[in-house]
Amino acid sequence: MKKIIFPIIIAVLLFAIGGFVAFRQMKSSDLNSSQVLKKGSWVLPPKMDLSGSMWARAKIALTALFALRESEVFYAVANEDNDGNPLSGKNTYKVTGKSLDTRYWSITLYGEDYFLIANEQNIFNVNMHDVSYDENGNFSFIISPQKQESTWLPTDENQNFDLLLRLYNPSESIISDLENLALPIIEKIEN
Amino acid sequence: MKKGIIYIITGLIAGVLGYFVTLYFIPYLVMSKLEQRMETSNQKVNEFFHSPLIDATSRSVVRPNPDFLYSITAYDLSAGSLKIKGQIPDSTYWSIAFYQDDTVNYYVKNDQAFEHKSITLILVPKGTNYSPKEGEEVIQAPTEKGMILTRLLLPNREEKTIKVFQDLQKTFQIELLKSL
Repeated sequence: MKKIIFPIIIAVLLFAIGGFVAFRQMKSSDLNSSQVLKKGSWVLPPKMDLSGSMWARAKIALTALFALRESEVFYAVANEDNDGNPLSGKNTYKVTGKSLDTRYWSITLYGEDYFLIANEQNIFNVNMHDVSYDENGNFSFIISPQKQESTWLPTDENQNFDLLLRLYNPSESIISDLENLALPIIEKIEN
Repeated sequence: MKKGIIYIITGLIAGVLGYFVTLYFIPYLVMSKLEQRMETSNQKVNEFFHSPLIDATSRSVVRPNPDFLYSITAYDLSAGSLKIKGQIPDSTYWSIAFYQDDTVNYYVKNDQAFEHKSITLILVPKGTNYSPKEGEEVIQAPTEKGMILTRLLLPNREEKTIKVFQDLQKTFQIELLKSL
């Protein structure tokens, strides 16, 4: 009897460890795997047709539930600046980009639990109407724990964050040429 | 020695199995947890819950978009098919999306793809033979249970605008069709 019980206990334990590892991996904001496309600070999540991929289905269920397919909404996530350092709520960043060929875009800031971060001003994102564009179609805004005069996205000094870029009804040229899509640059300007 | 190798192989198989079984069940667990949360906050199955403005207290679904008004319901086709009716906006993005019980999105359509501003969708179990009446669109649900989510983009956050679109959001109702 003892001969059987020991291997069963070990097998159950390792089964549980396997499950725990899977859950941690899927819950993690780290998307730097071979299954995603990386462009600067931004990671383009897996194709949103989730029916064929158990990995993508689990990942999206935990970190972006109810995401839509890319023809409806194109998503990109950034959890690091352009130097590859994690986005910290303590720092000030300048985000610079070019107008995007889409019906509507927004960049939303989420805390480590993937929810919005409470702030006095109730500012949680910057969208295409919040920014001003120069003659070349460029825009910029600031992410910082301190209030800014220009377009500003507040952070919580006590936690890291990530940014989710959404493009609703993106143009065909965006979907078919992701490699050349110019995504905003996230540059740390102050500690 | 031989026994040790068997233990190692069995252990490895168990670990790998645990990994993939968890991956498989995560979407079902997430959906069932959401359903439970909706139930405890008195949100009924087959009845839209029109969420208030999104802010930092909105914590039922990860990564909410604060520019949107959402309406959500868990659906269950065990008692019959569903008729979903409502008015969609003519000046801003709106979409309706249907999800299987494993989170897979099997239908999404936005305001620009609908011909009329008053829409009627009939959600039936896959394989059901239903002849749509004029103005109806039939959607075949691959799973008996799932979720329906509408998204309405607020053009701005002015009180007057919010009120107009919240009223529009409330036009969306679900009716249970016991016999087709």
